[in-house]
Amino acid sequence: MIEILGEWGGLLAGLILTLFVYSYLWKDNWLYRLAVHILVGVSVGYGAAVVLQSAVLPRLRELQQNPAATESLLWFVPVALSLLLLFKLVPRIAPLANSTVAALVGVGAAVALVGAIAGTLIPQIIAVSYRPAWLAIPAAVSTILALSYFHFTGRATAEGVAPPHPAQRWAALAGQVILTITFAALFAGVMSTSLVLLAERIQFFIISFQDAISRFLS
Amino acid sequence: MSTVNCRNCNAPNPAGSKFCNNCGTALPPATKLICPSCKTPNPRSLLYCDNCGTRLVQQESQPPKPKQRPASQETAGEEPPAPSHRAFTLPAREPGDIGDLDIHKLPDWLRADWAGEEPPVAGIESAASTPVSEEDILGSWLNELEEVEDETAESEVEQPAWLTEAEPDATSFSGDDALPEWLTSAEMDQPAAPTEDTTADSYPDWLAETAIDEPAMATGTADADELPDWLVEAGLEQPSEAAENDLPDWFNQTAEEPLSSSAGTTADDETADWLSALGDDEPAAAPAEEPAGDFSSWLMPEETEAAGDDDDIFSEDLPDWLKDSPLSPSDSQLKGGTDELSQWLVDAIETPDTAEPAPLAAAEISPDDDAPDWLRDVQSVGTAAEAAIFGEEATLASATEESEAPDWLNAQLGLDEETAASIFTLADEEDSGAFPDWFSAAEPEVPAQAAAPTPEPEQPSPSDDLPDWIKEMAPRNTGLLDTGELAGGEEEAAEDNFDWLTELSPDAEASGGTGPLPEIGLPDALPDWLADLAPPDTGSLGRPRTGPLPPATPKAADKSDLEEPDWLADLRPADSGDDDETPPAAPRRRLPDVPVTELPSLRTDPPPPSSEMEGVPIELAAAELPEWLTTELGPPPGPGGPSIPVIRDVPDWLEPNDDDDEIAAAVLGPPPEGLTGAEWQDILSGLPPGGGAAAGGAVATDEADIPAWLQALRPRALGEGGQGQVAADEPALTSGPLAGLRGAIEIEAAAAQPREAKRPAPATISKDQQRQMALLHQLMHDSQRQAIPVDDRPKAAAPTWLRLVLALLLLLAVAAGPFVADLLPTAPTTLPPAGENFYNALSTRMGQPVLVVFDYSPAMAGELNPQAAMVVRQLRENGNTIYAVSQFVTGMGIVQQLEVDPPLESGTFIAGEAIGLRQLASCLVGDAVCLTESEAPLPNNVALIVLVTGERDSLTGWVEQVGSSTNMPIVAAVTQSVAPIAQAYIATEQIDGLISGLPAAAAYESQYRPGETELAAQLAGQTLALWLVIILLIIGNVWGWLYSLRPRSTKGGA
Repeated sequence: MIEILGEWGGLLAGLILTLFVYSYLWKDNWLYRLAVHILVGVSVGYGAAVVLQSAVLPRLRELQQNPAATESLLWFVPVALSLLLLFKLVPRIAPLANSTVAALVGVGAAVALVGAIAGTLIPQIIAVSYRPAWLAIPAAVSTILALSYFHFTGRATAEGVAPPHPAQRWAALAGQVILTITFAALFAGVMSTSLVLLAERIQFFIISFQDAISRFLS
Repeated sequence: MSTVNCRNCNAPNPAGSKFCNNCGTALPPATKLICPSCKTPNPRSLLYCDNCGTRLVQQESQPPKPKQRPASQETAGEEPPAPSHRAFTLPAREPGDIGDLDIHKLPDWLRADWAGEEPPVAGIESAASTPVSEEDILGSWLNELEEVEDETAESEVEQPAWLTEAEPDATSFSGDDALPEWLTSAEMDQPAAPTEDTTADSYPDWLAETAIDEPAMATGTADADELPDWLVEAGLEQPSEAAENDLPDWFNQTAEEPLSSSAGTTADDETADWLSALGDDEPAAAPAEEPAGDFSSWLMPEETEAAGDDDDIFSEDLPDWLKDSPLSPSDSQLKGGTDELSQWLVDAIETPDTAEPAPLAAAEISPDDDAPDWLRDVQSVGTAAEAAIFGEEATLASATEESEAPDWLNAQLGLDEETAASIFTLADEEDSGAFPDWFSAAEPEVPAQAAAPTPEPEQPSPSDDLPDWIKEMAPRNTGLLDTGELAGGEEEAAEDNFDWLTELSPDAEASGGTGPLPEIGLPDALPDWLADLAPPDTGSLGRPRTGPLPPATPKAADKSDLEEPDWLADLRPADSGDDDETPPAAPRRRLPDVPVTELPSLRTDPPPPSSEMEGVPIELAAAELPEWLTTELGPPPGPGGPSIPVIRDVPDWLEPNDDDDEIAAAVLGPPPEGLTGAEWQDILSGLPPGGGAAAGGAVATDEADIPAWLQALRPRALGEGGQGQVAADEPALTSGPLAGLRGAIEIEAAAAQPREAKRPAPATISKDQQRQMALLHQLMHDSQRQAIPVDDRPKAAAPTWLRLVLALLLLLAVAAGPFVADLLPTAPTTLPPAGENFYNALSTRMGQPVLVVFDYSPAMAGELNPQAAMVVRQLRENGNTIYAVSQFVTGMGIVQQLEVDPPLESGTFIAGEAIGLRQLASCLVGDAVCLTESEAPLPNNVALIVLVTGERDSLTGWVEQVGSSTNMPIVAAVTQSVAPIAQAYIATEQIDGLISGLPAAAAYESQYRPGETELAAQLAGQTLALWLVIILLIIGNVWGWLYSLRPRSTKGGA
């Protein structure tokens, strides 16, 4: 019985919260906000617990087990940097956390840049080079046209206006079309994903309630 | 705002106007003072330049300081340099306009002692020790001009301050310029003043001691033992010749003259009779019963005749001797001849004319009963000491007074020249001996020819009775009458004969004299010694008459002749070069030695009561003072004394009178008895014309009478050179309100020199500034533009009911999917190559550790959980060790919900995104050790990474950070939204297999997972929802399009 109540409770809570979020189709209402706040709150709480359990506690247990080890001492540096982030709570000593933030952003940007160049740009270039010309040229031209759309500079005139060159305007227009198609495809995938999620969720509830009712009836 | 009046119509115009607004006449330009230094125009009110500070208006030069004038320039005939008067706006006055001259505005030196200050009493000590400034002197004498005749008989006869101070200041006073020029010139003729030492040496010891120890002696009190101040100062300070040298001769004579008069003079006595008689306030100041001892009684008739305004006065002022004299016109002897003349006169008439009359012994001349009263008075009032000294002399003098018949009187009496000459020759002899020694010593140093007919009788010279210092002093000053010489009977005595006697001589007549009485009036009537009181360089008027007499005029028509005596006219400065004619000074005559003990009697004698002695400088008394000065110098209130004749009264008697008859009547009075009016008129008509000064030179006299220093004070008048001769050599202004004036500082019209304004330098604007200006201009104009809305059409919002309906329809469609799956077309069974590669990747790595990444959140769980579950089941079926990792904190929780049996191996949460992935890559390749939640290290031999994610970053991160660095095969199961990105990595073969979206997953399930329909049902519902969404979108777009085509008026509130 308890399991049934628990199952039904879970299903109802999930259904209610789902409907609260689904109510956004009507308008931005407090039910939606309530569901979002519950989702974010639970997710952050859950995430904090996961981080504590998955990242902090394993390091602490390692230090407890072998505090004199060299590796353990090495963890002292990231722990100290992490503790400096707590100074962000006090504005007067908040600058003490800047070094930690700088390290995170710097190292993260550097790693991301290197990974983007080595893991995305170069492989993409190489991949295109091995493609047939009729496929490579449209890809290259599409890429150039898409980038030309973001070219906003031009030679200033006496009136202080810098009208783009006509060729540049045509290239930007072509890049805008390519971007539109790309974003439309992305949007379609997002909408498809949303509908899948909605369908999965509705089917989940339908199936869950159908099973719950069947078990309750059985 | 100031205005400028038109010179033509006097209409006011605004300042700065060039033409009159009323009549169009050109207006004078506004004038300004041009700075002589910087040429800057300055307002006229400024004294100093506003630009450079230079003085714009030159300071008015003051009269030159007398003390600063070098003595070398003080010559008799040299005019002092005229002050440089450069006036700018000095207003001109019409002649006679005295303006608003105020006594308080007079210079200090001019109004010194004005405020009732008593004239300083000359004393020995003060005079000797305290140098007297010229201010005091001038102020005093000027003050004396107003305080004429104020002294009483009780007061000792005081010398005017200007006299008393002038005497002892011979050594200390150098302000000769303060004195009139004629006085200074006369002074220059005197030898240099001795020094004090010299003076002291010349003092007798007893007198020097007295001067030092008894300064009271110089106080001028009535002490009988004291010498008069003037004598004390003259005798003690400059006993020898200092006093006389510093003073003009006329002064010395005048100063010592009263010694012959009695001490009991009255106030009237102090004033010259002729002046007292002519005074307005005291017309009868000189009555006939004047004391016989009055010194000037004998002079009064002549002076009165000169004034001639009052017949009574005239008649009363006639001296007794004149009245009683047989020469008097009123006397019967006048008609009858010389029967009743005095014996001495009769004798003189009967005596043949001789140029050198033999001196008569004093004893031979006995006092005559017919001697004039004044002469008897002189004798009677004499003190015992005088009698002791001059007793005989006075007696003799009284006898010889009778011979003092003036020329004019002789002429009137019809005496011929011989008779007159004989008479006066005798009188000369008698007079020479009649003068007392003290008087002779005080005589001015004049030529013997100018010997005056002193009324004192000739007296033997008791020179032995006088002290030596007096003896030494006398010749220097006189040379006229030396009793010693007279007594000695030397020939020099003949040189002392009076001129008028000489002129009456036949020689004179033969040499050019036209009449026995060439002149009527005072000049010749006065004794020469008095006429010679004037400086010796006084010209023809005052010089001794040694030459022929001027031709006589038939009638005395010239009023000036009658009014101004020669002796008075002679006081004026020399105006001719007749100085060379001045005869040499007469030799000194020794004064009798007077015992020292008898000197006090001399000291008791009052100073001369004549007007010139009372503070009226003779030159001013005779001068025609400017009216402005006489007006301003009105009589100060006397301290209870009688009214004081003001200085302006002095010239009155000198003012010309055109009526000759009246003059004659005034002078001579009514016809004497026995004479008819016609006869009297004949006598009057026979009078010679006046002297040159009276006849011709009224103007010259006026100019000469006014001292130079006083001329400088005279206000200038337009039209008479009032601008000043000093400016005559300067150009006259040609423009401006002062046009025509000379000596003015240049005035220049402000508009005469237009100043060209400097054009300011052009502003330089750099290019940057120009750009900034253009930008600012653009911003300002752009800001003024109206914002153009992108779309002014009303937004078409779906009604709430419609949106709710759509929401319900979508919900129903999703929910109805599983129920209508059979009605829909079946799921696709063809798996794309990427899907097949996915399957092959899993199939080829059976039994190897596989790292399954659950990078998605519970929001994506609905789409990805079926895929993840399908992959995990396959991996379990292949015997693979599955390590679950996730970059999402909720990833590990999703793993627990998959209900994988057996459950997955321990996994871990990867923090730090790219950094964590980079570290994980190190662990995967064995470079580092990464522990799972179960404290088990991740294996470094992971054969495949199965990436289940719905996030783009997660996909790129894993590919870029882990796939590129470890070259480990990655297969991905992603959502439909991430499918395009994943397709790119499929093209680069960075991802080996890909399952993208629910359709691919359903196809994968149907191909490789037979019997499972979960994904197929889900796909059916999704497909129905998608069709529903597509239908709704089409309906909505069509409805919106149609809505936009409707007219605005029919648009509702949608």
